[in-house]
Amino acid sequence: MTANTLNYRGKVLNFTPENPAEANIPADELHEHLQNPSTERTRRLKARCRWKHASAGEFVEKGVQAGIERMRLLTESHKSTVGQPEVIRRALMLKHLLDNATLVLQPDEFIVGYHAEDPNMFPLYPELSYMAVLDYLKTDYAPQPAAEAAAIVDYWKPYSLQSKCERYFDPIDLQRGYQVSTMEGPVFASGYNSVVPPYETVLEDGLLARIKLAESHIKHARSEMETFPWNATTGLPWIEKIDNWEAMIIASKAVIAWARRHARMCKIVAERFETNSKRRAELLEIADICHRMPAEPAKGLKDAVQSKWFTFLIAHALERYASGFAHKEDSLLWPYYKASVVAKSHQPMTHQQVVELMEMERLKISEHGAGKSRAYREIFPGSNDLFIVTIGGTNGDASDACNDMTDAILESAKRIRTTEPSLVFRYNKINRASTLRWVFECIRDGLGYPSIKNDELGVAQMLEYAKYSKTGNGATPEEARYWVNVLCMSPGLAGRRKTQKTRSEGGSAIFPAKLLEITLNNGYDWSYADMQMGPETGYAVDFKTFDQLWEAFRKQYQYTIALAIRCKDVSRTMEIKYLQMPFVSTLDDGCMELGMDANELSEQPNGWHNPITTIVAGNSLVAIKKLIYDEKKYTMVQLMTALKANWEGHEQMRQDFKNAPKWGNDDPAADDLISKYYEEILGGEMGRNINYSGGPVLPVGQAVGLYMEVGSRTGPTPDGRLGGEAADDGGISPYMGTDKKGPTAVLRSVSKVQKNQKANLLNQRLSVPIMRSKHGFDIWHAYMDTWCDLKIDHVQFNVVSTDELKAAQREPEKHHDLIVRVSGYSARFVDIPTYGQNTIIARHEQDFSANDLEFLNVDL
Amino acid sequence: MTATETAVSTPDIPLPATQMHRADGTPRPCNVCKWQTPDPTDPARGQCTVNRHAGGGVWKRWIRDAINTTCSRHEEGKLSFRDHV
Amino acid sequence: MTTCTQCEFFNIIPKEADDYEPSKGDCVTEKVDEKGAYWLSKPVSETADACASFHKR
Repeated sequence: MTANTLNYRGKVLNFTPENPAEANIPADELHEHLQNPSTERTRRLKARCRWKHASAGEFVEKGVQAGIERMRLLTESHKSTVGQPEVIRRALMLKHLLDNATLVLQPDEFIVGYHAEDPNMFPLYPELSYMAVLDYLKTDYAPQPAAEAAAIVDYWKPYSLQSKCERYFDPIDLQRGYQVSTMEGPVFASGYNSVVPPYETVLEDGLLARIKLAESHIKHARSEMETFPWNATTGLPWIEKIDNWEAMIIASKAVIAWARRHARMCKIVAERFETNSKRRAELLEIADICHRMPAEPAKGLKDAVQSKWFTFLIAHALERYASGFAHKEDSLLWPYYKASVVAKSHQPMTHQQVVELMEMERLKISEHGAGKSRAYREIFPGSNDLFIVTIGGTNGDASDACNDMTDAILESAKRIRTTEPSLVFRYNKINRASTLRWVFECIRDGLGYPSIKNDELGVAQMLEYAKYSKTGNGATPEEARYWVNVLCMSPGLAGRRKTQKTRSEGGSAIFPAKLLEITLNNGYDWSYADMQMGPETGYAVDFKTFDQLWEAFRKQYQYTIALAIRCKDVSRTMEIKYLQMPFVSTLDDGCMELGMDANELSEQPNGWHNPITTIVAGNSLVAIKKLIYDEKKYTMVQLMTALKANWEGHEQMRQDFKNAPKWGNDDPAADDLISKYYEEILGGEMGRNINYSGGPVLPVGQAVGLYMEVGSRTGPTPDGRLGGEAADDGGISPYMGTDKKGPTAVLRSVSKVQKNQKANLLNQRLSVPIMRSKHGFDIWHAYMDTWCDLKIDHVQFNVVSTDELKAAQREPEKHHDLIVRVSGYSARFVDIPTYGQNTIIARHEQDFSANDLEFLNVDL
Repeated sequence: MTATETAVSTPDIPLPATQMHRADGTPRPCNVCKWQTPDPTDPARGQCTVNRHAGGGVWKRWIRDAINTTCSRHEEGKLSFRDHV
Repeated sequence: MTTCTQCEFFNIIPKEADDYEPSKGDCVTEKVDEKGAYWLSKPVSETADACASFHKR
């Protein structure tokens, strides 16, 4: 429990609640009193929301099930298009799906469209990973009828991305990857993916204009092919381009027809069945919007939101599965906000109506079921999928990008309280105070978002990666300012061109804690798999110097990271051949101009890979060096014996290793070695790998829920951890409970790691009384400015009391609105397994001492 | 392997019955045990979660063949997601 | 034989529609579960045999 007063600069500061009414709310139920939907409609929509949260592989809500319709229609089309160019087959598949899919319309909703045949269902993707779909067939969520589903999976197995890729790998390497202990499973084995669709194009141009453009390109191409004299070197490349443009046309026409089916449906319900006159009028308005969107350019905000939603469904769920909701939402929607709210020239609205619309969008996302593989139903416990929107930052001319649309997005998040979509705020010291206030209020309400990214570091990174562009057309300085988080952490371009289209470009993880464990055992995993997991680099008991251990670890890391990146690039190769995305390609100006598929064209490299469980390994290296090699208090034989016994019978030794210097306390005894480990090994070795796009792959330190999964597959470690305990909860976060020197010591530690990094996730838990007091905003603002000056990449916050968390463990049914930041995403606390809940409770609740406030130079 | 190291299991030292071991055709296979959870990637494999300690840690073990493996702590059933990782 | 064309939920697709085909219509039905009611629309042929949800027009 933190103190309610503090002596600082001659004053006694009181930390009583800023809102006096909160003094009457019991501390262990605060979050249940924070919801405040802006209208009765959104209150109703939330009450009946069909949540799709998953945890430990299971869906939390009853009645959630995999649908069969997408699988069925995909298969029908595939069988009927044999002999056609693959990209045309992909377009025809989309057409067959959209022409025949069941549409869904729910009462009260304004944004319409769903991606499965029932709002309780989600689609599956047999063309991606056959193992992922086979797993579903054994669960309570299996698509029905079961026999048909099994036949579909059997049909697709040889055509699946997984089968196409597996043959290029040694079976032993595959087995190692599939375990998700030293590395995240290969993308082709799970089907997990991400994309940044060029929403700007569809909103600005409309699909009819894109069709015309593709048609003109085809006309030009044919004319070029028919010239005399024929020159094969310049003539033949047109063939593939013609196929790509034709596929774009087929896909775009299919999307228009599908959107207009929604229009027809709304009109039918309005005219034939709806008895409420207000709702009838609204359905006719929605019908008008769906008839024009996304065929035509958006004119007002309602157009823009619906057009974006249709695009999202196709790009993320129907053409192919992709996690994420990556876009610069405030900038994207700002022109339409101005048209509707400021000028009132199109679809006139008030600002409060915009807030309601954003609340409705948040609830649509919350219902969006993702047919992910088991691994991904485990590693984001208490949430749906990684839907992450970016706001804030700066414009192309370096001016403040915050606007009233930014504020509407933030206000809607604060009011409706859902776990998704998460928000990322690009923090720049020039951001306007009124928006920062909204950011702060979301954070102090315990939403766990916005998570904060350093705006200028992201810009610099886009420019750095641009240097490696294969086409010489990487980000310009103006384009570099238009970046978003592709998923939780890694910046990537947004806009009409050059965005990241597949997770093969950047994503997936490697697990240093497990790598360290096997390094101690000649590359052998004794604690989980009982098999050789990496090269034979020797036994730690034979290492005479710390450097030998260091080099052995480096070799394990080199092997695994090269394998992991190779998996992605082999997958990319097969995605180019068999998983074309003609609809997404339509929207990308580069794909349109060059007649290339979105998987193939790469103008802006963005390679990254996520080290997760980093600090367990880092703290372990510090402890080993100190206690075994420097002070020689213990021998390696003694340590290995203790680890194999899970420290039983070696309690004093375990305490000594636990008490060795730990990351996050601004202690050179830990920080010097750990900084070197980040920069030289994690980043330095990873960066030697070059990906498909010709650029280096750099680390994005992360965690999501993998720190729990991998922790449970990792035996005891020399930082004092017991076997099966969770690992550290963020890319650069101190291990739970070991950051004992205050929040600014954490910042000082983290700021020491600068080289060879793309991003690093920092989890911090802040004191509820301090944040909710009248001083909370000033302290947080000063903290953020200091964080910015220290050139730290990221920070995200939990603001929740231990009392409330424990009350929720005892009576989960009374705490449905309690949201926590896990790592990279937010979750409903009561939907997280107890194992994970305990890791959040264990996070140190940072108090701000007078010394911390002095360091932040905050004036109160 | 040096003289001071021993493998978790060697052919001539049988594992205790409390630890999972191969048993072809066993009537008490891992795949119907409440402590088992499927492999994250390959549905033909599994993970044993029976090893839990008082501090809350869940130390998983990989099950190569969830149909032909068993141990003396086998209990048929299914745990709530709250009790898994 | 009862066919979809006789059903209250059958709506013939107009000729100007992008997905128009002769005899093709939208079958628009209401479903109810614990969370409430919702509408579903799927394409059917007017000559298809009536299903269990058939309701005479």
